[in-house]
Amino acid sequence: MSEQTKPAQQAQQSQHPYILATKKPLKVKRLQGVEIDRHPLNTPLNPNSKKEQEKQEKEKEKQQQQQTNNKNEDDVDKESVQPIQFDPLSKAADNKSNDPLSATIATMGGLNLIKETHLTTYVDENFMPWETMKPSILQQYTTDDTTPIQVSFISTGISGKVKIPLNRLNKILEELEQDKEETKTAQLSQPDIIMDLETLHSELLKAWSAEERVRSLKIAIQTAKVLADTSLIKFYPSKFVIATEILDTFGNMVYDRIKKRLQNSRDSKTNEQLLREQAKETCRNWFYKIASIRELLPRLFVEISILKCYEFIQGDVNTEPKEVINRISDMIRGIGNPLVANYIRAYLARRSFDLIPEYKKFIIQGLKDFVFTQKSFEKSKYLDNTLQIYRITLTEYLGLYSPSLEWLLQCLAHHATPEILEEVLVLFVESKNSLLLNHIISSFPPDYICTNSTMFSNYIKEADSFSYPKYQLYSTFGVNLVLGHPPQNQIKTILNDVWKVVTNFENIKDYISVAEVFIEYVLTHCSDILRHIIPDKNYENIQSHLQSIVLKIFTHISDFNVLLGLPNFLPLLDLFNGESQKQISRSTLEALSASTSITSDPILMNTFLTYGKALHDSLNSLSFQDEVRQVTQLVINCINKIDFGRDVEKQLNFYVDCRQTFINLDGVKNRLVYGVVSICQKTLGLVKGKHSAKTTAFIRACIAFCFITIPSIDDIFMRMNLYLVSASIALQNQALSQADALLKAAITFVQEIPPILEFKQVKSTEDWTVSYMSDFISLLVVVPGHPENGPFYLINAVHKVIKDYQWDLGSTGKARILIQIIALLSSWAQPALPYHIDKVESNDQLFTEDPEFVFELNELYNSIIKEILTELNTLKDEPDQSTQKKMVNVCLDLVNKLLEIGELNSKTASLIFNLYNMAKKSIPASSHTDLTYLKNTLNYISTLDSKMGKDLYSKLSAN
Amino acid sequence: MNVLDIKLKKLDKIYRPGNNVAGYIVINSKEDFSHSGITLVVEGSVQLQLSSKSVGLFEAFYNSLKPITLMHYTINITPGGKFAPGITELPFEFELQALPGQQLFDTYHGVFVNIQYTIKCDVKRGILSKDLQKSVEFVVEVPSPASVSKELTPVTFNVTPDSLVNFKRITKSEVPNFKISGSLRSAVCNINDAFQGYMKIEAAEATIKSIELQLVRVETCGCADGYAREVTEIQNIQIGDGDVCRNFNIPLWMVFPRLFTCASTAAKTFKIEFEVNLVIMLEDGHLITENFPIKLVR
Repeated sequence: MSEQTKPAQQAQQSQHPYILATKKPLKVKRLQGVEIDRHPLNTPLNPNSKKEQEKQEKEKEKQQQQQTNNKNEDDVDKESVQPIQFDPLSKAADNKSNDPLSATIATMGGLNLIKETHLTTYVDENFMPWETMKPSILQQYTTDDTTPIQVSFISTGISGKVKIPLNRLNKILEELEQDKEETKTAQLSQPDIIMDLETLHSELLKAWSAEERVRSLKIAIQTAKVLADTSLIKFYPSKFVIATEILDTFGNMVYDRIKKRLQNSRDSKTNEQLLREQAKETCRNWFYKIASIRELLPRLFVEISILKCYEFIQGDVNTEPKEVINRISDMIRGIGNPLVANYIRAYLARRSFDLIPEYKKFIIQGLKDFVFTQKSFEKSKYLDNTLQIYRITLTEYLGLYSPSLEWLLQCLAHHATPEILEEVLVLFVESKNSLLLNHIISSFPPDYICTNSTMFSNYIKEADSFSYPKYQLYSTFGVNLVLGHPPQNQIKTILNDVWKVVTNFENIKDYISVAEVFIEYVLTHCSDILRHIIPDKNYENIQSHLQSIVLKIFTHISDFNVLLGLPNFLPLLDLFNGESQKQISRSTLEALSASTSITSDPILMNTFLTYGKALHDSLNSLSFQDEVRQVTQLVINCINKIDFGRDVEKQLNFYVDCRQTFINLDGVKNRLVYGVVSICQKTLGLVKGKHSAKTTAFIRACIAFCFITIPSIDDIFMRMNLYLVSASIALQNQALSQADALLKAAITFVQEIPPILEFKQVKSTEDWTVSYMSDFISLLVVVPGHPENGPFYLINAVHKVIKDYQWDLGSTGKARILIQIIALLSSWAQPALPYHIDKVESNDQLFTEDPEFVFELNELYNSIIKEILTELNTLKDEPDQSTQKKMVNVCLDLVNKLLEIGELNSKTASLIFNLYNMAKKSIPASSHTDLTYLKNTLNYISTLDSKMGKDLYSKLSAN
Repeated sequence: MNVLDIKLKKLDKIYRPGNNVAGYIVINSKEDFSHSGITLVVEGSVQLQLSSKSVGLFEAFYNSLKPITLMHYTINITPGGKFAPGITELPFEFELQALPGQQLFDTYHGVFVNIQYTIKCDVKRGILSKDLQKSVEFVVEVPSPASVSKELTPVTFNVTPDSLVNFKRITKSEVPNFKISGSLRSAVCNINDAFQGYMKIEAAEATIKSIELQLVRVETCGCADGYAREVTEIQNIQIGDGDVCRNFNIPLWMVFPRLFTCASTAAKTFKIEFEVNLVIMLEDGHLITENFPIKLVR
């Protein structure tokens, strides 16, 4: 439209040098389709315009397609017709739901859930490999809880190179040389032992690579000897882990070397027989060497470590794997210390797994031996002595057996036939050892336990109480019940059975930890009887357990409504206080916001408000900003879940309640205002654009809500945006006076916009202010003038505010906004405005024909042009390059604006001439964009066909 | 530089009487290699040595201490001649056979008795160059005669304070009460198998420190007139560590070391026998020992 110059209109008022042009023929622009969405009055509700969303969705579809393309190209057509919705949230949700359960399992002593691939095909994902067990053992069994055990050759999750001091190394090596002598070293501390093992490991690798096999063997022996010492008894299981790691390394190196030789023999046809014999001979040599190791423990450990090599010399005497394993298993009986013996059994089970994984009989024998020794050990005075020497309790001491037993039973129970399981159970029945029972329960297949749950429940009752705490047994039992599928008819029986015993627990902590597990059992198998077991004791000290119970409930219940229907749930939540209350509130909201359904349930709403309030109240001015942000987001997510559909009044009431509850959260209030705005629009849609008396009143109420909510928001920028949005909504809903009030309020707050913003870095807010004011001014186009204060009331106010605003030095903000104002004035000068709002009479209908209005319009126009010129004059004197550049931009903007909206009379022409020259003079030579702008402006002037325009062009181009 | 080497076809160099021993004499020379004949001498002999403590006694039957030659072959591989530069392999083969009137024994390296079989190669090289010599040892294993009973007859034992015979610095009344029982699978053991059995501490008042199996060889030199008996320990392994559980079958298991054992041997002038001692060491330093003579067969 601006390409065409319009015939100049006669100046109506001669005293004004510059006169606004009215453009004819006037086209009222009808907004269509996308433009309607884009229009500032329509869009503020959703910052992402629809188009953009569509674009994003399309891109997602594309990605999806690309993915599926790779999979099966045939389905491409189908895929493009029905794109799969890609939900980025679903992943996160999945992860979350897995967590709490697996964490408990880890502490429970290990149920075999962790998936990991293993060497042998025999093993499936139910088997927890040693690699997984190692870190938890290292973590649990240490004399020093403060520093975690770090070993360079075992990845414990903590990386770290350990340096070995030289003197220590020499000492160990000396011992190595004279290893036949029993050197009584002073008691070593845990770091010393780790250091020693570390040294042994590096020496072993060194010796091996230097082809010093005998030395390697000696080092392996030395390593095994470390395991004979139980002086730091609490560290023993960890020591076992580290030392066997070295032995494994040794065993694997021996095995690999022989294996390699055999492979070589296959390659070379000529010497095949010879090389194979050679390999066998090497293998035999190893076993002969090991058989002559004097001490029992190292001999057993080293032989077990190279157990796999027996496969090379099958056919020799005494090499039948089962016999070998049985023999070693028997020989372990010679180890006097039951703890050491049981660990070496575990090691045997571990290494024999490589040779013949199916063979389990020896493990049973081993367990029998364990039970036997344990019994006689308990009777003898040595047990008391041991406890006294190491100053640990009996339970603690027996707990040290736990990893080895766990491993043994796991190896045994894996793919075991029921006969084997029964055999083990018989073993328990004989011994009543509850430690054994615990590991039986934890390692047997859950389904086996479930089908025999009554029997196990009786076993637990029978088990002795000192070797393992009862409540732990019940927890382990419970975990298995959760994982398995107990027969339907037994579910309640088991529960009642267990609960009878559990309710008698004196210690509340024991009690609750069982409850923690069984609540899950209940939730998994019989969600209808939750009320049976919600306990009614005093929970002050066990909040963390309760918390975990509640979290479990959340994990299992996907429908929040169901949960709220349970009469005991809310009272349970009420038990929390302090920090855990905060946590629980948070989890509650998380669960709520994660639920997929949109609801209007009053109980749920009430719950949300209650826990939202608790969470809100837990924050204060000292809370981390990030925490506040997270909570805000959480609350917003929950608010999004609550929708009353057509019942907009209830929705508004809900928003009022929310405002009351979340008074300190800006983000939430922001969301609430937008929510109210959207219910206004919804109402407008429901009445199809024609408000009835009732809806008008409702809209008033909504706008009033906005009007009072907005000032309570601290963030000025948020506030300003909301004013503008709600003002336009008010206009659209014909709430004119309220719109006026909102705009007025916005204008008064302009003063409060800080010139700079300090967030991470200092940033000028000038651009924001200018664009905000531009939006504001463009809204003013359709805002009807004030009935009493006249049409210029608001724009005058804006003008004044802009003038008074503390602009930065060298800022062009003021000039740019003023240019926008003259654009507004130009719009007003037209006989009809470019667009209208339905049912709102704008200034064109109210004032255009009024000569006073036109006069005033031109007067304001002139005064503003003068103001801009003064502003330019000040800017001109600024020496700063960037200011100069900005000034040039403003000059050219003004020139273009004048050409577009002004009547091209002599005054205007000379003004343009001056401005143009000023811009041309001040343009920095390097600024290409500005030079192009200048050129284009000149080109445009050349297209003017009026005489004045041609004169102007000739003058400008001559210059 | 000339290198002379003897290579046997069998890698483990183990042969039995009647076996053919085959191999190569390898001559590796960079230049022409002239010689005046290569001979191979195969010899098997028993050497008896005197322990310093029994020297005086032995002078009486000095004769019996002469090395006994069990076998002796001299094989002429090739008469004098010349080899082209490079590696020359000269094959040889002979049957393992004792001299008339003699009998082959297991290879054995003991302290006082040595039974050794060697192949020695001599290369004569005229006046100008040095003669070359190289020898290798090979191992002879003699299967025990079928007459030796290989049936397993378990040997049971019981050790109680009453069964003890040798007290040192201690009176019988001071001996703590104990009862140890057990059984050997057999006193006749195949040398490639292990010494097997079990034992059980049925009762013991004292704390046990360690239980060990001691393998002892008994070498006897001499003849009917007089002999010297030398006992040396060749292996000591632990089968119980610490205060082992009572009433618990602990396996006895010992693999016979290859280098220091041979089948139990009895010849006219010497004998090689083995014994196993079960040693129970008590915390207070006292030992309880039970001796089992065993017979090793092949």
